[in-house]
Order: sequence, then C-alpha cells, then structure tokens
Amino acid sequence: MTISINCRIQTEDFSVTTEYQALQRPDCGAVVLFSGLVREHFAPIAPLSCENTSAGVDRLLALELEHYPGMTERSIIAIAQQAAARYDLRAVTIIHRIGVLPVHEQIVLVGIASPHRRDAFAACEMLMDFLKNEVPLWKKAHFQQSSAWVEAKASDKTALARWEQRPS
Amino acid sequence: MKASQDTAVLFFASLREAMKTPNLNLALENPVQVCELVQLIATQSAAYAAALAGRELLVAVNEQLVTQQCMVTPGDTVALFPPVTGG
Repeated sequence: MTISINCRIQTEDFSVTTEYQALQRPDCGAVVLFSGLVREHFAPIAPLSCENTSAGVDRLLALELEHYPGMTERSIIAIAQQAAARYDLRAVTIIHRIGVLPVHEQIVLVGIASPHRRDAFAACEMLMDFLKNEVPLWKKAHFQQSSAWVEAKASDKTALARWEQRPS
Repeated sequence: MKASQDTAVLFFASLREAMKTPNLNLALENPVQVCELVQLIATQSAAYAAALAGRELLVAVNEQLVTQQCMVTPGDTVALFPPVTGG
C-alpha cells in the first residue's frame, strides 16, 4: 500500500483547513487531525503548589523550539513509517514549528488519513507519543522575568511504553 | 602511525548553552565508546566538565539515537542533547 508522508519543520504558521483538504483521499473514510498549541498556564519545572499563588508566578510569554536540522525530519519520517507498518494509513502529515512561538500559537499538527477511524485515531496518538519522546526537538519557556528549558516528563515516557506491546 | 580524523560533536538546547558552543571538533585516531568520548570532552576544560556532569544525555551518532556504549568511528558526527521535549 502506498502511503504519502508529508513532514515539515517550519517557522511559519500552518492552516488546519489546508492540511485537512490535502489529506482527503477517495479511499479514506477518516481523517484525524491533532493540533498542539502554546497554552497560557505552563509550569515547566514544578506545578503550582498551594503556597505558590498566582501573584508569585511568572507569566509565560512564549515557547522557543529548537531542532536538529536533518535528524529531526528523518526521525519524524521514521516514526510515520512505523505507524504505517502497524495501522492501515494512506496519508500522514506532520508539521512542527520551530523558533519563538507566543502563547496561543500553533506548535504542531499531526494529520492521518485512513479508510477507517480506529486506525486513524490510534496512529495519531502513537505519533504524538513518539514525537514527544524520540524526535530531537526542545522547548524553552520564556516568562516575563526569566527563561527555562522545559524538562522531559515521565508521563510522556510512560505513554510510549503502551506502543511497545503488539496490538491484539 | 594512523592519521587522526576530525569527529564533529554537536550540542543542543540546555547542553549547548551550558557548553557555550554549538559544536566541537575532536581529532580521533581510533574508535571510542560514546561514554569515553564524553569523558574526553570533559578533560578538555573544567567548564566542559561542569557542563556535562550529572546530566541525563541522549546521544545520536550520524543522526541515529544510540546508547552510551555505542562505538564512535573517527569521522562520525556525534550529537549530545538533553531528553527531548517537542510536540
């Protein structure tokens, strides 16, 4: 089965509508799209405790994304191929933005076209889990008063483990 | 005598900032393990040693994720970086 893989690393924004239309296929009854955004309340190191009231919290202005040119693209294509080997997919689009992305901006898009929804949903989740664990991309959080590199989350690693078991 | 060959070592994200450089070139004569290569860099300066100490590092050799025990051949491109946080 031929599959179309469209992987882009870019500073500019993307249009979900344009990508949705590009994913449509006559033999696909399902298109699943996930978009990740920069949210306002972002606690990169420790979640807010009871003592740490909002008055003492530095407000997030933007996330800055760094990548490893070449390896990032190759890693994304490799995980898309892994998903395609496991699920019945016809087209995959992965767009990841880099550079400084202010709050509310789009960061990432994963789009899947498949004959059936189950494969499309599962592949989309699998790709996001792999993207967060295996693709060289790093976030730095810029607050009003300070900046800090975002730490990798244990929960993202745990999420990856479920794809190691073969589907029944 | 073997001629040494330049091996590029790239640093990303928090490690790039801590190393205060995006890359180094090491003249390697023989294959070494990744962990030995990291030690070699640490012996070059106290600042490098401090930047590398106690840090969880991921390693790519020629753009493939590998373990610290993987061999690096002179002329390879090695990348060292913290756990990834994209998506």
